[in-house]
Amino acid sequence: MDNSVDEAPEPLSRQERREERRREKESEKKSHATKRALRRVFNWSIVFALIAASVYGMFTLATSGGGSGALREPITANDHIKGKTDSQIVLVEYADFQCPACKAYFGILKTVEKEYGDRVAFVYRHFPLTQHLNADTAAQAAEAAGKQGKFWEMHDKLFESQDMWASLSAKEAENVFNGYAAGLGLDAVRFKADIISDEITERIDNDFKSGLQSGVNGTPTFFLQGIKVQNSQTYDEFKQLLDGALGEPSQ
Amino acid sequence: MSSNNFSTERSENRPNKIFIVLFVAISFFGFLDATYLTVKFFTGGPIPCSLLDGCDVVTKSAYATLGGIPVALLGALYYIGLFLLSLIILETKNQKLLTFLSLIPAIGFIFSIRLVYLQAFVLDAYCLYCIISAGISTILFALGIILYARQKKATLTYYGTHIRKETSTE
Repeated sequence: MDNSVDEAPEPLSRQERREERRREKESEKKSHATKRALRRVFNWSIVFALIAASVYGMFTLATSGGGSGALREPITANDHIKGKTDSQIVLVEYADFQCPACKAYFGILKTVEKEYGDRVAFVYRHFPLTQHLNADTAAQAAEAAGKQGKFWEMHDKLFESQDMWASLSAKEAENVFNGYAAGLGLDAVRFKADIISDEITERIDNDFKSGLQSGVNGTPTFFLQGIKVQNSQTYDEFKQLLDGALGEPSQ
Repeated sequence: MSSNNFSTERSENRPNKIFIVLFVAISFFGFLDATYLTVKFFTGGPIPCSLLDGCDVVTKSAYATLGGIPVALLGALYYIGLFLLSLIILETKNQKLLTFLSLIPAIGFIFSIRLVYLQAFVLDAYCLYCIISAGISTILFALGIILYARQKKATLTYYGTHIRKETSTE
C-alpha cells in the first residue's frame, strides 16, 4: 500500500518535470521574444524621433537667415522713397509684388500712410522670391514705370491687382503690365524698352543682394529706423511698433 | 525564413552590413539636404549660395517642380524611403528587400543626371544643395551596385555549394 502510494507519483512527476521544462523553455522563449519586440519598438522610436528632430532642425536652419538684423545698405537718393528721408520714422520694406503677405501689408501700409502722414517715410526695395514666377517681371514693370516717374503708382496697381496676374504665364503677365502702364499714361514704347533693360534687372538684383546682406529671409521684411522688425499680424500691432519708434504711448 | 539560407550566407552578410550602414548614413544626409530645400521652397526664403552662383535661378526655374510637386520634396521622400528601407534590412536581413534596395538608387541616379544636365546646359546656373544631392545619389548608386554584385556572388556560391553537395552525395 505504502509502496504503491509512493510509487504512483513517480511516473507522473517525470512527466510533470518534462512538461515543466517545456513550459519553462516556452516562457523563456516568450520573454526573449517580448524583449526583442520591446527593443525593436525602442529602436524604431529613436529612428522616428531622429527624423522628427532633423526635420525640425532643417526647418529652423532654413527659416533663420543669417544677418544681424540691421539694415546694411543705407538709404540713398537712388531708392524709391515715399515721404521725406528726414521724417521721424523711416520704414524700409523688402518685398515681392507677387507675395500674398506683401499684398496684405500693402493694405496696412496704406492705413499707416493715412494716419501718420508725413511723420513716416517709406522705402521700397525689391526682393522677388524664387517661387513667384512673375515677381521678377512685376518688379521690372515697377522700375520701368519709375523711369517715367510713376513707380509708386505702378507699385499700388501691382499689389491691388495681384490676384489677376499672379497665376498668368510670363508672356501674359507682361501684356497685363503693359496695359497697366497704358492706364497710368506712360509712354508705351519707352516702357517696353525699359522693362527688359539691363539697368533695371541689375538694380533689382542689387536690391535682392542688399536684402540678403541684411539678413532678409522672407517677404515682406521691414526695417524700422534701420533695424529689422518682427512681422506683425495686424494693423494694431504694427501701429504699436511705429508708436514705439515715435516715442509715443500707443492708444 | 529558412535558417539554411542564412548559414551559408552568414559569411557574406557581415561585410554587407558595412555597406548597408553606409547606406543608412548617406541616405540620411540626403534626407537632410532635400528637407532643407523643401522648407526653402515652401517658406520662400532665399537660398544662400556660398560656393556657387545661381541657387535661386535653379530653385525658381520651371524644372523645380514635377507635376506640381516640388522636386526637393520628391527628393526628401526618396531619401527617407531609402533610409527606412535600409534600416529595415539591417534588422530583418531580408534578402529580397536587399536586392530591391540595391536597385532603387539607379532611379535616383538617372534623375540626378537629368537635374545636373538641366543646371549645366539649360539654366546655366548651379544650386549648391542640388549638387550635393546629386553627389549623394551617385554614392548611393555606387553602393547599390556593390551590394547587388555581392549579393549575386553570394547566391551563386550558395547554389554552387548546393550543387557540389548534391554531386558529392551521388
